[in-house]
Amino acid sequence: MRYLYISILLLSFYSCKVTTVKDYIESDVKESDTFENLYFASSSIDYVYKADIKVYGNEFSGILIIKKISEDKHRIVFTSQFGSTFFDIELENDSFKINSVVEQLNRKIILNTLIRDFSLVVDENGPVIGKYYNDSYNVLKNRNGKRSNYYFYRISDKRLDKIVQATKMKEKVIVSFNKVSNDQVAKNIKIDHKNIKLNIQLNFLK
Amino acid sequence: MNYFQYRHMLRFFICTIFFMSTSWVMAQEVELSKPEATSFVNAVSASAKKSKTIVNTFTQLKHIDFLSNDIESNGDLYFKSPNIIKWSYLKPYEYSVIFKDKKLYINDAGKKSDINLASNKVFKKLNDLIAKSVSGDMLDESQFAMRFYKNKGIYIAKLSPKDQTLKNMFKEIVLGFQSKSYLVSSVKLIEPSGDYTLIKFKNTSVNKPIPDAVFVH
Repeated sequence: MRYLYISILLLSFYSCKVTTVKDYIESDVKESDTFENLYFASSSIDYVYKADIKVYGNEFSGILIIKKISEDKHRIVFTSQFGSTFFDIELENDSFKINSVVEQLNRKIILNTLIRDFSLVVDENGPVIGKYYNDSYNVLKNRNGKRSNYYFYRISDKRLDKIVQATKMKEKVIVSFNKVSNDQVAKNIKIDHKNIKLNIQLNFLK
Repeated sequence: MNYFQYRHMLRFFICTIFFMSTSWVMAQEVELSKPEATSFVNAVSASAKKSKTIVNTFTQLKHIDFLSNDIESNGDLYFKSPNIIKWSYLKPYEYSVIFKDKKLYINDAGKKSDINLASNKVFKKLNDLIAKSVSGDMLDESQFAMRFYKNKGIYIAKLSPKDQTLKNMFKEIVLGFQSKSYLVSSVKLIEPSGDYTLIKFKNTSVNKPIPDAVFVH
């Protein structure tokens, strides 16, 4: 009986282990290594997307605008098709400022999740604490508080394909960048949460 | 030029600029006198009462200060008195909303949903505001502090909401009216931040029957 408990315990531990880079080969990290995400790095581009946000069965549809307004600062505005603003936030390194938010979204848990998601999407570079590879991807690992971010670069053209945010045990968020144009604009972006019912789909409008 | 001549010149220069600029502003927009404003409000109200249906095309510009370009969208608008309204966006993507029977019906490129306006104060206020601004039937002193202007054959009404829910959304609503028909030709919704949405109407036809199918969700 005791063995059964132990094996169940072991099994559950094993299945909880983060699978993000499980079958990848680890390589040495150099001091000069940094991850790079250029999808929102141009201050001359208005990044305007049609956004569909599904959260616990509710759907918000509207226009999401991301703009790099200074060296380390992004402004993110989500408006309805009519033009009324759902939220308007500014992200700068690890800090944020909420310019406005509608009553329905003005809850700490929702705002924190949105801020964490969009920080992940717009963060341009940072230190690397782990490196992995397989036939298709080079992966760079970055530490973000209690979570780790894994940046997946395609070997074929070196472009950033997805970011996986995970705790030691579980993958939490996967951001995938699709249909990338020559000027480094991802025409389709998906943000999927693994532990909560929240996903965001963005389609470029201009 | 000595110091006094210089000061004199400077004063003259500043006064000239001041008078030029005020006369320029006045040539742009003249505030209506009380009797003019009253007759204007009556004319708009009469026109709104006569307008059983309105169909037009619209162009919408969303201006956000930090963007390089305004976000442009366009489509068709259908209004049926007293408060059924459909915004059918064609660009930048197909999207339509129908305000009808205290509900807001959304068709997002084929994906349909609805919102109960009775339980959503913000949308209800927005619906009333939009229905009334399209027909022009919103010049209501109990709801708005109002000022009226005329500029090159266009009447302009500037409304500041008194209602707190609307006030949180918009600090001012500016309506443009065609001077002959007294129909609304533009709506500018200015948010507390100064960012705004400007909607311009074109190809307006009034009292043309609208097939019921248009308002079917």
